[in-house]
Parts: sequence; structure tokens; C-alpha cells
Amino acid sequence: MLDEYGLAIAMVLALLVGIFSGYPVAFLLGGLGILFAFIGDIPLPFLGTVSSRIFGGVIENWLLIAIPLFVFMGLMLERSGVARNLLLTLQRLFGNVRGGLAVSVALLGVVMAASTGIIGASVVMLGLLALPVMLKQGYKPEMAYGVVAASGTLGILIPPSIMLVLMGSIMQISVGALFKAALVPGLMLGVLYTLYLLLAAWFRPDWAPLASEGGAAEDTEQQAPLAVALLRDLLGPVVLIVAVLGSIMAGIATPTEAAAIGAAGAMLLALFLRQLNVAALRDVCRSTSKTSAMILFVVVGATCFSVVFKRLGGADMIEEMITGTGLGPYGLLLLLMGLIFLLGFFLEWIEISFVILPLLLPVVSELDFGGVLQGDTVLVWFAILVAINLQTSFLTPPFGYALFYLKGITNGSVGIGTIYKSIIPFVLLQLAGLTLCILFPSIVLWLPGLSG
Amino acid sequence: AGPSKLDVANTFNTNLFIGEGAVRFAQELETVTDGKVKLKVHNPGDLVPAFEVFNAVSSGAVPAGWDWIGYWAGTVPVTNLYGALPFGPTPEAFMSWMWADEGTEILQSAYDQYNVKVLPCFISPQETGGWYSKEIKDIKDFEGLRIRISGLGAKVLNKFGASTQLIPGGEIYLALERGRIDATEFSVPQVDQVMGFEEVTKYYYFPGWHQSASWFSFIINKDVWNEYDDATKAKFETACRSTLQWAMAEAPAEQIRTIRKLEEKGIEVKRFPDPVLAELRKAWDEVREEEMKTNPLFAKAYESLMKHSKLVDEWYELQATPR
Amino acid sequence: MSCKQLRDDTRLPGWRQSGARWCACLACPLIGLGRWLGQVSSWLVLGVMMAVLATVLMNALGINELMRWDDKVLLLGKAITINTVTELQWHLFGVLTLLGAGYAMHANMHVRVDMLHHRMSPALKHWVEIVGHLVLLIPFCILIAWLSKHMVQMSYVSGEQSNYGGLTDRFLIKGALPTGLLLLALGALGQVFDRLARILDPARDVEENSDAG
Ligand code: NA
Ligand code: NA
Repeated sequence: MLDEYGLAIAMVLALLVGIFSGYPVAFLLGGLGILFAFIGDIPLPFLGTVSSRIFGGVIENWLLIAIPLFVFMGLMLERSGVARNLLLTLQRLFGNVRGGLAVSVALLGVVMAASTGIIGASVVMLGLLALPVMLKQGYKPEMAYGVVAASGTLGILIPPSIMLVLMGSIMQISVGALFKAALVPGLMLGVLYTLYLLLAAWFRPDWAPLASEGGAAEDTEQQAPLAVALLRDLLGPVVLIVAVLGSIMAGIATPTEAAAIGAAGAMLLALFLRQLNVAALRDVCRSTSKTSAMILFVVVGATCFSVVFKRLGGADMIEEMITGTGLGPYGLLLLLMGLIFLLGFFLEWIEISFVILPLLLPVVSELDFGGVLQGDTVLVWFAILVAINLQTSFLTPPFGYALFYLKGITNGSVGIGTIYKSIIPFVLLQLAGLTLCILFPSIVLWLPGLSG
Repeated sequence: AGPSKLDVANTFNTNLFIGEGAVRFAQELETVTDGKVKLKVHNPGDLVPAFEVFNAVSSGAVPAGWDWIGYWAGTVPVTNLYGALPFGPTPEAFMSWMWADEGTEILQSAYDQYNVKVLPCFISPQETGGWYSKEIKDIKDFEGLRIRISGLGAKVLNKFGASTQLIPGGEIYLALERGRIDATEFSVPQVDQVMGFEEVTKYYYFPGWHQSASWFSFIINKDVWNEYDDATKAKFETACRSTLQWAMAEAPAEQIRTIRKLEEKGIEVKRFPDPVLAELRKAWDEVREEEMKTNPLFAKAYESLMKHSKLVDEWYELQATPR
Repeated sequence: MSCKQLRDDTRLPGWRQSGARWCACLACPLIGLGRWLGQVSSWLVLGVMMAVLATVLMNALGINELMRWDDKVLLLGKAITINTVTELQWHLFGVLTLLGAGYAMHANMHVRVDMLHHRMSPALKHWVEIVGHLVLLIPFCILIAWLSKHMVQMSYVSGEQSNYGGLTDRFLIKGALPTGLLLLALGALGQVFDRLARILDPARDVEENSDAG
């Protein structure tokens, strides 16, 4: 295997070494692609696929328009103080529940999950809204980053999800069934996060101080009665969320278009609160441009890396690993899950769905787990397992895109090591959720009515 | 003697009937060349995104591709005729024009300047009229109708005030479900069923007037093509004809089987009323005249196709018996 | 990065002083250009937003065509339809993204895994950046820009346009890709000079608020 796939393996190793040099990940991915194309003696014209991939996959791919728009929305809400007031009021609402603020962030993540399936956009927006408030209140940074990254990625699992639509058409299964099947596991993960946050805050009070103990205390001194505060601080954001979700539900906008409604709404809200002037708008626009370019250039670099990786035999290597193992259904399932989990370290979900899923399909559709778990039902179940797995892959170091995006918005003030550490409990929760869905398929199959 | 292994960028997933054509073609070619030429078919996005295949084959970034010909209408306008010609001839007549008259030559003449060789190897039967959330009883029902449709058919609907628009593939389902659009056309039932539209619309309309028959092709960079000797080139053509025969044989009955399944799931199969079709036909004449004025190659191809298909039709009419 | 004249540190050898001055002079316009383009183009996010809202509004009102005229106009062709506005969304988005990349680079916003990076000396950090830009980023930009030539040329020659009655002159946005990449390469070159200047004369290596631009 080393002779045949030596270069593909070397490429992954070079990537691992390269990222620890601290050179920007986006440029590293693109540059390594070019470098290995030369080392592997790939004909130059082949790299023309990279320009096609950048044009077709990023510039012309207008699902990605949601990224700058949601980033704009997040920055605008932060700049106008809406975000801060919202979270502080939510915190008061939870009264003396330890970890209440973190739980409200997780809840916000679940609510936002319904409006977007674009990871970068929701992680960045949630991060901009919640991080400053949590840190100011004295939360342990690890806890704050973890909850933001994890709940920000829930959006790709909880319907409507572009990932599920794509998987449905690749696997030839009903998108409606997939949407229904993903709902319970998605909410379950949200509940797992919440339980963890409450328990962690209970056992380690210093991780999640109450507002009265933390740095935010001076704000809570002369505040309006809770009811007034609720009305004042919640009304705007609630209207905004209703506008975003409502415009999708009412058929006024597609999920991508709803992002623009959110962005415009945030601007109006700031205007209404008299927090909007030319300087503020200029700053928000400039930060939006930098933040979304930061996200999108990781995609640009990755598209170059992966096409060269595949050309050097990377995909064949994976195919060889899958076929001819002689494992039973559960053994094979675990192998596939492990494989997707590993691939998630450095490939994108689109790549995995388009390239890896078709390789797995013939194998998976033959599997018989007994009971209702055969034929199409296996495929629905398997698709959701893959979806949870892919969502997890956004969170796994060293190559977790959600972690990169989070790092990007902290502007160098936080080391990636802290972010890596912060995510470990949540990755474990994800794996626990995944295990539950494997052990109890009805978690997935009950809502679409496939559990027999 | 030309490469023994060719990468083929497919514009469709191979698990769809229209993308499966590439796999079939690869098998046929391997058989006729005794395994001397093998095709590796890549799903869309694996090498390049679907809409970039023509450009990539032209530049040589990817040696070959499998496409729906109409995808390139933005670049090569005449491909609208091969991909989606409203009120065009039957698949049989179209096939006859392509392989026994000048259809393929005209297409090739348009591709020459892009250094691409084309082999039209797959015809899908007439597509459907589309998935509708609203009933179409009168031509006025198109007024303000929001429908996802491209090309010449869209221009026809525009004449009746429809808002024709483009929604990315991944968002069609949601857009239909929530009512952001009222209708969409896609492909033949066998392909459509994969998209799950029956879950989110009520009506499945026929006939697919906007697209009488649609061609799919194997395209290959000419520099690569010219490396092969004449005997091998002939084998590509043999494999191509055989794939075409397979597609024509496989498709029609399968569509009805699929429609039966969709009906069981509660979708209502409907026909556009005849007066509506007549209005659409009239508007098409206008659109076509405009198209022929601005696009001489389209005019040439259209006239040639119609002349030829008239002969075919006449023969079948003469020979028609009660069944 | 600072374009201001610094008083030379007289304890340094003369060649280092003049080297640093030269490098700073070369870096200044390159980085300035990237920043300026980024600042100007960042307003496009409002354009994207307006275009999407216009699409939503036109769709809600069932409007397909807003206006039509007789002579072809650059990019718009002969009419403004809902699809013109829809395609305008990703045209603007593309320019925003491409020009934003250099802007983010000068603001040091691109994500790095900094577990080891944190512990490096300032000079070593600069060397990582210089080697990375010269070996990885600049070759990537130049090569992919050059290989995009065919795509742009073909689009121009064929007069490629939307098949949905949207925007015409597709070569403009296709041409934006190599243009953006070349500008990014220029910006990277500016960073190389800037970092060299900082290595040669550590007095120039002052922390600046990365978000100042
Ligand atoms: Na979602
Ligand atoms: Na990962």
C-alpha cells in the first residue's frame, strides 16, 4: 500500500506537519495541493480543475451567500448591543441556575439550526453573539468555546438541512423521511449538551459563575424589573428570529434568502435602537468581508488539496480499505463510521457525501441487521448516522472547520489549543449520541414511521 | 495510441438513470476494445462541478465528460435545440436526424472551436411537464406562477407572465415544500422520483412540451481523441450506438412503472388542457422566430431537423394501424 | 505594517538599516492596495443583501421582468429580470470574497493552528510566513490564475451568458477569479517584504491592532 499510495499518505502527513507550523490553513491547503501536483508529476493542465472547482464550488455556489449575510447579522447584533442584552436577560430568566447562560446559548443554537445549514455562518454568528458575554461573566473559556462550536454545527443536522437534501439525492432516499429522521437525533444532541452543561456547572461552579459572581455584575445592579427587561431585550431578537424562520416556513424565502432578511432585520433593529451610524456600518461591513473571506478561503484551499489528493490515489486507497474486509454487518458499520470520522479530520462534508458515500452505498444497501433494519430503512438509518458523524467531524481537531471559524473570530486572542481542549467533551457527547442511535435505531426511525 | 484509461467527469450522479448512461457506455467500450480502453466515471464534484465539465474538457483539465447537452447553452446556444427543444420531434425522429442525417455534424461544428469531440450516446424520452402545487386549468394560470425552468421553455412561459427562475438543485425541494416556488420541471419520472418532489407537491403534469426529447453525450478533448487510431475511434462509436440503443429500449416502459408508484404515494397525474397547449405552441412560434433571427446556427439546425422529422412522421402516419 | 518613516536604529549595521527601509518601501504600496481594495469592496455585502431582498420581493409579487430596453448593455443585456437580480447576488458575493482574502491576510485574520506558533520567536514567525508565501501561496495564486485563462477566454469568445435570462458577459465574473488571485499574490509579496523589514530591523516590529484597517 505504501508504494501505491505513498504520495497520498505523504500529502496527509505534510498537512499535519504544516498546520502545526502555524502558517494559515487556507493557504497551506492550496499550496500543498500545487506542491504535490509537481512532486507527483501530475500534468499541469489537470490543475485547471482547481480553477473550475473554485469558480463552480465557491463563487457560483450561491448557497454560500448565507455566510457573509449571517456573519453581518451576527456582527450587527453584537455591535448594537442587542446580543449582549439578550443573553444577559436570558441569564436573569434562568435566575440562579448555574450554567444558565451556556444553556441559553445551546438553545439559541438549536433554534438557529432550523434556519441554516451552513456551518461557518452559524458558528460565527453564535460566536459573535455569545462569546463576549460568556467570557465577561467569567465562564471558563473552554466551556464557552465548546458550547458555541457544538451548538453552531447542529444546524447541519437539524432540518432544514442542505446536507440531508444532498444525501437524499445521492442515496436515492426520500428527503422528507431524512428530515423527519434527523429531527429526534438532532434534538437529542441538544439535550445532551444541556445536561452536560448543567452537570459541569453544578460540579465545577468556577467554570460557570453566576452573573452576580462574575464580571457582569455591575450591569445587573440597577436593572429594570425582569418582566420589563424581558420585553425590552427579547422582543427585538425574537421578532428577528421569527422573521428569519417565518420567511422560510411561509415560503417567502429559501434558507439562503432568509439570511438576507436576518441581516436587514439586524440593521433595522440597530437603527431602531439608535446604535447605527455610518462608522458602525462601515466597521461591520469591513469585519464581515474579512471574516467571510477567512471562512471561504479555507474552502478554496481545501478544494485544491482534495482534488490532488484524489488524483494521487487517495480515493482508491479508501475504496480498497472498505471492500474486502469480510466483516459482519455491525463490524462493517463500525468500520465505515470510523473511516468517515477519520476522513472528517481533513475532508469537507460535500466531498465526503459526493465521493465517499457512493462508494459505500452498494455495500450498505446489502447489509441486513435483522428486524426492520433492511433495505431502504437501513439506508435512512445509515444516512442519519453518517450525518451525525459528519457533524462531529466539524468539531474534531486538528481539522475541524467549526474550530477554525471560531478561532478566526477571536482575532488571535485565543490559542487553537484552548479551542481544541474545549471541544473534547462535546465530541464525546456526539459519539455518545451516535452510539445511542446505533444501539437504538428507533431514535432515528420512529418519527418517519419506519420503526415497524 | 491514445490513453488506455480515461477519466470521465459525469454531470450526473451514476445512481440516476441519466448518469448511469456513462457507466453503461464505459462497459460497452471495455467490451468492444477487449479492455484496452477503460473509462473511470467520476461523479459530479469529484473532479469538477457539473456546470464546469464542458470547460474542463475543452481545456484538457479533464480528458472526457458525460453531459446533458443543454447544459452548455450559455456558451453554445445551439445546444438548447439538442437539450430542450419545445414542441420538437419524437425521440425516434430526433434519433434518426442525429445518426442518419446532419444532426451530429451540426453539433460537432459548433464544438470544433472549443476543441471538443462529441458523441451523442443517450437520449432520454420526453421529460415531464413538471411538478405543480397549483392546478393549471387555463393559460391565465401561468400569470405570476413561480416556476423553476431554464432555456427556451422559460422564454415561452415568460410570454404568459410566469416568473421563471433558477433555484439551486439542493434548495428546490425546500422551495417547493414551503411554497417559495409553485412548480418545477426536472427530468423524466425515473429521475424525478429520487428528488422526493412527490412529498411536497400535488400534481405531476404532462406532456413535457418544453422538451420533446433530450440528448446526453460523451464529450472528449480533441487532442486526446486524435491520439486514438481509426479502429479505436470506430469502437467508441460502436459503444456509443449500443448505449443509445440501451437507453431507448430501457426508458419508456420504466417511466410508466415509476408513475404508477408515484400515484400510489398520492400524486395526481394530469395533462395540460389542450387549449393551454395550443397557446403555448403559438407562443413558442414567436420565441423560435426570435431565436432563429439572433442565432443563425440554431436556425440552420432547426430547419434541418424539422425537414427530416417530417419525413419520419409522414412514414409513420402512412403506416399507422389501429392497435 | 507601517509606512511611516522610522528613525533608524543606529546600533544596527548599515546594510540592515537600508535593507529594512527598502523592504518597507516595497511592502507599503502592495499592502496598501490590498487594504484599500478590501475596504472599498466590503460595502458589497450591502449589495448582496439588497439583491437578495429584491429577489424575495420580486418573487413575492410575482414579478418576472422589471424593465426591458433595446440595446445591449454590459452585464445586464437587454432586460432586468428576477434572474438578473438572483445572479447579481453571487456576482457580488464572488468579488467580495476574492478581494476579502487579501484584506483578511493583511489584518492577520486567516486561521492558523498556533499551538507551536505561540511559542516561536517573532523572527521565526516571520520566516514561517515568508517561506509559506513564497513556496505555497504565491505559486498557488499564480498557477491557478494562469490556468483560469482558458475558462475566461472561452467565456469571452463564446459570449457566455445566463441560460435563465439573467446576466450576460459571464467573462467578467470569470475574469474576477484570476484577477483576485493575482491581487492576493501581490498582497502576499507585500507581506514578504514587510516581514523581511521587520526581521532586518526589529524596531519596526511593532504590534498593531490587526483590525485597524
Ligand atoms: Na438546519
Ligand atoms: Na474534523
